[in-house]
Amino acid sequence: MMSLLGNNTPRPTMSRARMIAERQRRSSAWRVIHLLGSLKLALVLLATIAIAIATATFTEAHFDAAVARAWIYKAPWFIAWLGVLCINLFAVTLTRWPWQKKHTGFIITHYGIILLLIGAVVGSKLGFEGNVTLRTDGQPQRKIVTDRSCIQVESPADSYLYLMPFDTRFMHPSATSPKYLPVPGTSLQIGIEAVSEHLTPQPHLAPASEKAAGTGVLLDFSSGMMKQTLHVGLSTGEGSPGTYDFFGRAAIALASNASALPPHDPNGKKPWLDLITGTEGKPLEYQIGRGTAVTSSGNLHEGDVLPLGWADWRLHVAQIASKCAVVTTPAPDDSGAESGVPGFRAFLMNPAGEKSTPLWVASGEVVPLVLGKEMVRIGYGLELRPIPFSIALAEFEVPRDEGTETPSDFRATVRFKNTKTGAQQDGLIRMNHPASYPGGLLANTTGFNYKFSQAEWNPRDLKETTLQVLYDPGWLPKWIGSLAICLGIATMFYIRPRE
Amino acid sequence: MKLSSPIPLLVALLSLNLTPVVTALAQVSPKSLESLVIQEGGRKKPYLVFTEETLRSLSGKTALNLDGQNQDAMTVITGLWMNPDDSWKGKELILVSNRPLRQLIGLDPVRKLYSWNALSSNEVLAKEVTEAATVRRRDPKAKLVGIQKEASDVGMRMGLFEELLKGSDFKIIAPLSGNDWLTSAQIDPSEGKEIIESVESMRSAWKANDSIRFDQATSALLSLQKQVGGLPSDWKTSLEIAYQKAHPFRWAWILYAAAGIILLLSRNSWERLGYQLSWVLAGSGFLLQAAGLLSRVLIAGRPPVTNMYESVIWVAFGTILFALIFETIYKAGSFLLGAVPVAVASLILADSQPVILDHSIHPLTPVLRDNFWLSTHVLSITLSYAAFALSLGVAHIALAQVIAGRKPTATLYTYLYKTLQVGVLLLAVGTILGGVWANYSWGRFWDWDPKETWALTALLGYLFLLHGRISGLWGGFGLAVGSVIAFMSVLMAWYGVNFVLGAGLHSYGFGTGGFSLVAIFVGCELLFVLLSLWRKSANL
Repeated sequence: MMSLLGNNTPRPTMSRARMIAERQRRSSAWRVIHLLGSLKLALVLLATIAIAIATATFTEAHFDAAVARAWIYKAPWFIAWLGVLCINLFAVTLTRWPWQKKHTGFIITHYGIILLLIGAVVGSKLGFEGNVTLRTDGQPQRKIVTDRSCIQVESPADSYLYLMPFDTRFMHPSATSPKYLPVPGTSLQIGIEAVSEHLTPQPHLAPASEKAAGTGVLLDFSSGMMKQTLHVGLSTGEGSPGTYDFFGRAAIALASNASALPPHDPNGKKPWLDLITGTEGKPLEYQIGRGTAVTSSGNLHEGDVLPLGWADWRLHVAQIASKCAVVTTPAPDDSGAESGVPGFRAFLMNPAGEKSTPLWVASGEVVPLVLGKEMVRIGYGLELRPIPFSIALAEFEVPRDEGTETPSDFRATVRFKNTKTGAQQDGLIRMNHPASYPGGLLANTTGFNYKFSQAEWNPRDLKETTLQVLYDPGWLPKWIGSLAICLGIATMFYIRPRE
Repeated sequence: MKLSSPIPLLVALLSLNLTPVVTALAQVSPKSLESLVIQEGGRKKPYLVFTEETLRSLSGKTALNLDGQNQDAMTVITGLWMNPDDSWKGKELILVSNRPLRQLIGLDPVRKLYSWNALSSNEVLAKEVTEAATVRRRDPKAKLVGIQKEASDVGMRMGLFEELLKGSDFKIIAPLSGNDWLTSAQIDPSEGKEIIESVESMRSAWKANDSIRFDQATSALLSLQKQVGGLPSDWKTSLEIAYQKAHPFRWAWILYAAAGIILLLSRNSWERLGYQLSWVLAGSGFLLQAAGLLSRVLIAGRPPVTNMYESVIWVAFGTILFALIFETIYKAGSFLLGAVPVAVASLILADSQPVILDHSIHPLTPVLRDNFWLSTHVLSITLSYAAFALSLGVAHIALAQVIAGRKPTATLYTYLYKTLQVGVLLLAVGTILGGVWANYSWGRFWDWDPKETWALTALLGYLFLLHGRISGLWGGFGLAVGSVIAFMSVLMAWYGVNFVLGAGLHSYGFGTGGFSLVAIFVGCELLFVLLSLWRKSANL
């Protein structure tokens, strides 16, 4: 009725045990195999992997999923450790050689794990994950946004775009120890000396040609209550902003004389601040008012601070300069709002060690770095992967639970178009029911297929949806491996061959 | 059969007060309303269920002591509907469950229920609720924590109270078009004059305390509701009312506990009779629990494993299921004895913590609306938890014997090994099925989501335990110690990821509360293990 403990252990019979001991004594290769396939190594692997991934979940909860990924799940040491696990799994099956019927479950399970891990490697090396945002009134998309940040460099040698993996979250270069990247095809190097997660466009005054030049001012608005600082640049020159909309609550304007100022709504109650530059060398004249009523007025010099009477907002005149225009360039946000995009500050360096002026490169922008006669364009952002077809959103519906606004499903009808043949094909993407392209049994089972699943939606704009995209050529080994693990364990535990 | 187990625990559990709430009606009985169908929370449900769920959301209970009388949910909620005067604002029926919050906003630290008047005039509370709302407005996906979360919950209860007083939650009539049901105030008088009249007649009868007229008006309303249509089938409504009244899981744990006690008491004499009796009792409890679960399946139209409450009930069910299967094969007694404390504790927990473990049946988040994957992935994962819970129980028997100075038999350790095998197979299958499901729903097989990762961690932990046993690094005793410790990783995968870590894609299961309960349990388990290790080394 019962079997004794450890009956699942393949216990070698005496002659078999002697044969195994004998081959280890005779051959160093067998000794290595038995060492690599040892249960002790398996225990160390199981324990360390379990502890590492458990730690990673706490890292994720306290920091960020990307940190857990960089430190543990995708870290080279962890991948290498999984490699050791594969070797251990393979070696332990060899130690049972010659295999007997009773080893069936054991062999299937251990090879299943190896196959699953091979599938994972194939998937991550040859496949990719990304997302695509589509709109019913938008253009068909031919590129997928991956989650891999990279620097894009246009080499002056061949005008090619080169992609180099770079993530501001995990790099900590400084002016004293910059991170250098070679510019392909040249002897130039790009030096990265600072990173920021919060770059916002910041105004500053720059000398300008005749037409664009005017008197420019840099104004800082700050509020202790809102814990916020705003930098505003205005200029009377052509092409520079002369007015500023203050959160839609107030209007700020700069002009060279009172008649050039925008008129105030006589029935309006919106507060305003008018600034008049006058002739060169004179201080700024200001007027603060509401509707047509003026509440205060006076002169402002560089460095002056003026309470505006709009909650606790104060104005600081940071700079007044003539013959200049307002230009905006990205810079780290000091407003305390933690808004903006990631980016870095980079310079160009030649073999002689000469450096260009460092410039901030914000995600999504292309910046030219100029050193003497050399110019290199550099950009930063998430890597885009081209796909061999286009996808467009024909329809998007969000059915709701009865009597509520809670979504009960998401239904996106997409239109795939083969860019070579022009053949079109529609697909319906629902929750738990992805659409695949090109589709078909072979493509679906092998994973040589683009799979689109519902990922995100915008409750305020039902014309838009974001789809998760997966291209996974490692799918078949993952599938077979998974099946083998389940069947193998069941065989090992519950099917015992008659010996 | 050599058994040693915590009798005092079972006795203590049985001595809990199970007397049903005695309802002293000061009013007309609203019983005739119980089968009225009401649309709320994305589905249609019987009025009885609506009132119990609503009062539980509002007060954390299904009966209250108001105006010196014990009133059940039907009476309280019907009172709010029929007679929504300002006196309700002075009644203590809004739950402020969190003690630190009560202290912060200057309320009595001991009392939990407060009136709307007392809470709405509290400026500190208003500030906290506004701050929580601001956080939510800025980022609808933001996760509120600590005091802010508690304050936000109180704010939502106050909102619910206001809705009830306004009558806007009593949606009783299907509209001519669309699927948003109407309250009697929303009905166009030219089309639903009779409905409006019957509700008015109910109101005046309720106020006049006229039972006969109230019952006449409700029966008129019920038949009008039928005429308008759009109702769930009658059997479904009747089944849900019966399920709501029967408390099958409560009776199940009483039967399990009785089975456990008889098994313990009969170990020295009447062993055979005791074993048979405990089989009958546990089997009856099991059938009752199965009936309860089946009711939930029929009512909700999906497997009963979609929130923490259901999974606790399901794991208790699975533990008894495996114990009964093993008992059928081995007739050992140890499986049943190991399973009973786990099942009883789980079911009592589910019954007694309605604020943490929500009993209500809600529509599912879209990603979970797939009965194939729910019944394969989720059921196999939760059944693996059940098997590991059984191994925890069996390990307790072995360790208790060690603590008592006796040597557990090799057979007992074999039984333990067998329960672990079931768990490992189911957890491996469930985790892999999760990957396959994720590949369809989220578009990737494996991405180190915390729930995935902890399922794998638990699996690796148990594999470590089994491989260590195979290699001879530890024997049966080590297996028992390991079964208890490894179960902590199951707790982490099951409860911890959703309630402690609160990160990742399985966000539909996230909740709060119960941390101190779980921490005490973990602490006690570790002490138990330490004690057994100390006794083992002392006896060597």
